[in-house]
Amino acid sequence: MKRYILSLITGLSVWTLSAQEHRRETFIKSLLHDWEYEVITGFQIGGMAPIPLPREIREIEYYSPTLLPGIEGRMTKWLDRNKRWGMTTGIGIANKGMSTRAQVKSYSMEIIGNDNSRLKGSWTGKVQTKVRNTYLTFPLSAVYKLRPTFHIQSGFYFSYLLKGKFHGKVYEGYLRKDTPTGDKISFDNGATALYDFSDKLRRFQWGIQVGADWQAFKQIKIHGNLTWGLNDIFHSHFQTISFPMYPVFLHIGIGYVLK
Amino acid sequence: MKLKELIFIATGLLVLTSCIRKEAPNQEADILRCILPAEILADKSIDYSLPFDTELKAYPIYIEVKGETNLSNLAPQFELSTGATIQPASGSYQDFTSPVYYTVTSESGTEHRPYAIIIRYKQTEQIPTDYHFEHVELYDNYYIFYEETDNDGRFTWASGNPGYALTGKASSPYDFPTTISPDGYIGHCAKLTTLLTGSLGEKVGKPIAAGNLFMGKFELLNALGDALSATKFGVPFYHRPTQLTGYFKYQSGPQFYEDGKYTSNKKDTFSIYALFYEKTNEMPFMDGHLPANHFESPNMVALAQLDKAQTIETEVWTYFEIPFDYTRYNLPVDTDKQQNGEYYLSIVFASSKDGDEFRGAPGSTLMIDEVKLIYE
Repeated sequence: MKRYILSLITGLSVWTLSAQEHRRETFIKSLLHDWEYEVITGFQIGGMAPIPLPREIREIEYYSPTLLPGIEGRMTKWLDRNKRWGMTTGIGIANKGMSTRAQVKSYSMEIIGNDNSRLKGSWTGKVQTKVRNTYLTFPLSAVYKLRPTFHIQSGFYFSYLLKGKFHGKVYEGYLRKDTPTGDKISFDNGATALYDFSDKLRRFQWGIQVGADWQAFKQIKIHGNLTWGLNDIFHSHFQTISFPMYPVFLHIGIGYVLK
Repeated sequence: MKLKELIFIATGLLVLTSCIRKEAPNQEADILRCILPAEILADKSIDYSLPFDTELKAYPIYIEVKGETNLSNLAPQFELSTGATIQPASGSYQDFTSPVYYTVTSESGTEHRPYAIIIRYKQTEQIPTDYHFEHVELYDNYYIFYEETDNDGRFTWASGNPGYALTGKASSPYDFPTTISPDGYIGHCAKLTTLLTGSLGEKVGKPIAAGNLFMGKFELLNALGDALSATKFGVPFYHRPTQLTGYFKYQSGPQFYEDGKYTSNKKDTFSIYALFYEKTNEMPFMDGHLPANHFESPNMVALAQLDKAQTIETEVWTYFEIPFDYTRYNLPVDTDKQQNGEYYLSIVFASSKDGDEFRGAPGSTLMIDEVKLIYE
């Protein structure tokens, strides 16, 4: 009896295994089939901005997208026979940066020394900010073919900060020490104070993206893709910048279709 | 072209959400100016930036009026930070025979600043002329030297300690450039040390701080900007100073620091000097720019400066005696002006001669004791 049961179990498992193997094969086959591979190179235009702009920011005097090149490998799987709907994913290196100069009023500011000494308060004057972040990025989007040479896509992206720099200086203004009514300390005569919040940057970033691509030639595509970060670029326990900042970037790229 | 449209929409979205918004109500709550009839004022320069007075529990503003003024019924008017309000009201009559307390509330309504307005007759009190450096009081985290005056008053010395406090580097009053030491010539003495200001000091471009002690006031407002103008020299003096004497010890720091780095071929030296000058509306205060300009000013009356030959390193208390030189400036002393308190005096000590311009050797230490001002 025991032996009977045992052989039955063995038989069953062999059968299921082979069936699974078969199914997996077809699944893998279909997975491997009809993928479209593309290498995209381009740059990001945008910025890390509080949205909407907080009232502390009175004027943006200067803005420059530090157009940094990036590269992305993308693969698209068409889900239907007509290649109308698809999924796209990939991996890429995205360099997101900007350089700004703003006039602010009662902007919460902290100058932190390497020895952990700190001078904080309410800053009125100019703030220069330079950001240069390198992210490892994974997009995940649904693609829809509008016309034979034109696709739109929408979805999510997930990023991991490989290297980040968020620094700048404050100048031509004054600090009210600790509170808006604290001791007034003037920064004139070329006096500046440097700040660096690089180590307060958050590692994991995610957001939504919408984009479109246009097949200019048989193997060349032009991409436009707007990515909108949904979590603050800083750690949540970083309180000095009192408002969350989100990376909003337009990625302009040229893609080479491999298949 | 659809792509173009999409880009337009995307940029539009960015721009729309990132508009500059209406300015928030002002959070500042300062008295910028206090207005009283000009004919009653004995001194037109009023200091609005005095530090918080822990005894008064308010920011003090001292106003000196002429002797015949009735203090019990005055109605000062105030200029305040934009949008701020004051209680009691600006222009309301108050009794100023004792300090009157005002509270300024910011436009935002969230911030308050307490003020004590002290209107008093012009002080003609003679400052003490013997300085023993035995007494200090603790303010914030640092010491302020004072000498007791004949009528139980206090004469306080100014120093750059409030500026050093910003660096957050000191954890005790003894970590400050200007502090007290028990190793005096007699009793305690003043100990002035040139110190590095640390990472934060570097970030604001002020890498070192010399210990200093002077008569006048230190304006924190300018400590990180035009630092030379932060040291405002002088207090009224009603006599003709002739000589400054005292004792010092000096040890120069091992390595000279300037322009952001150490140099090996320079030796630090200290400074002791005293100014006697005429205060005018154009030049209400001599400041750190004066020594930087080799003590040249049309307002200078006399200068007492320790000779280069005498600025030596010494481990034993060394006596110094410096005459006031009146001949260099050749400006006669007017007795009326003298009685009106229009001549100002300042005695200045610093552990690095050019410390106010951020040149000096960290570790340079100047000890000062039993200083005496001789006058006619």
